[in-house]
Amino acid sequence: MAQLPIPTSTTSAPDPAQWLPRYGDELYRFALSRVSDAETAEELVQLTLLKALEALPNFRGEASERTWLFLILRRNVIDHYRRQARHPTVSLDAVTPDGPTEATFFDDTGYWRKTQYPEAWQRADAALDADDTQRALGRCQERLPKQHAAVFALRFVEEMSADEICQELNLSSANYWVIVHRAKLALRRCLEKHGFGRAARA
Amino acid sequence: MALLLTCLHTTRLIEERAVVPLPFLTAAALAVHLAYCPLCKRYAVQSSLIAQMALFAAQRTLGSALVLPPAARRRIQQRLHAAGAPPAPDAEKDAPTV
Repeated sequence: MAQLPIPTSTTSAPDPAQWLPRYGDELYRFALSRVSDAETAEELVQLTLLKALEALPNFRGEASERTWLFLILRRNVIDHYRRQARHPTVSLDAVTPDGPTEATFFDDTGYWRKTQYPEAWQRADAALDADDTQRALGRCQERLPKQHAAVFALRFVEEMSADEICQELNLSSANYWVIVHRAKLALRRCLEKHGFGRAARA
Repeated sequence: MALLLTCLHTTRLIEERAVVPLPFLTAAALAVHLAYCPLCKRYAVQSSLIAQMALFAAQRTLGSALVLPPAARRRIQQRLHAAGAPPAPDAEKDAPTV
């Protein structure tokens, strides 16, 4: 599972009046690291605090108040991806038809199309957490079909297992692998076009 | 499983092997393909890099200068209060000025 921010303090009894002043900014930053726009991040923080308020009678103090709030936020992020994966016209078990498919990258015999040959990445040695690397990945993720973006985020950002993702999104294992494969092919190509490939450097 | 894989099949197996162990013959076929196909070899390295980039994105700490916008803070505070939460100590300070 993806790591939550390390707790800096523990509290005893939850105090809803203090949630926003104490944890609002941290929750917002966490949400913003998971979703692409500020408005959605704000909504996730609001939803988290409202759900926490509702669940307050069940809070047993087994984790700190802060950890508990982050767990609720993470659940909300996963729910956000699940909603995102829902396509208006196809069932969840169907692979979203929009976006690139295998035929975009491979010819009829199953080999790379010449126009899609993977190039050597000029920035392969660049810091993976550098701001421009992260921005490029974020932009490319936004270009993925919603369903592919959701599966990619759950797998590679939230580090959920394939079984968990299939259960959350009601996907068959076969469709899950098709989506992961297509998402990776598309992201690889997008990163290459936007700063990592030889052509972008020329 | 045929010993000679296509690039389509190979790249798919590259994704699968990162999560589940492949059957012996499939793994052998994949190794054979990667030994002679520099494009798929390159894909394998780059696919792994993309996974690492995504993980860094999840674990990075956004600058503490990035804070919940005041308008959103006020809105959330109002919603919490309407739902029964006691007012925050600094709620008056954050209250919208009209």
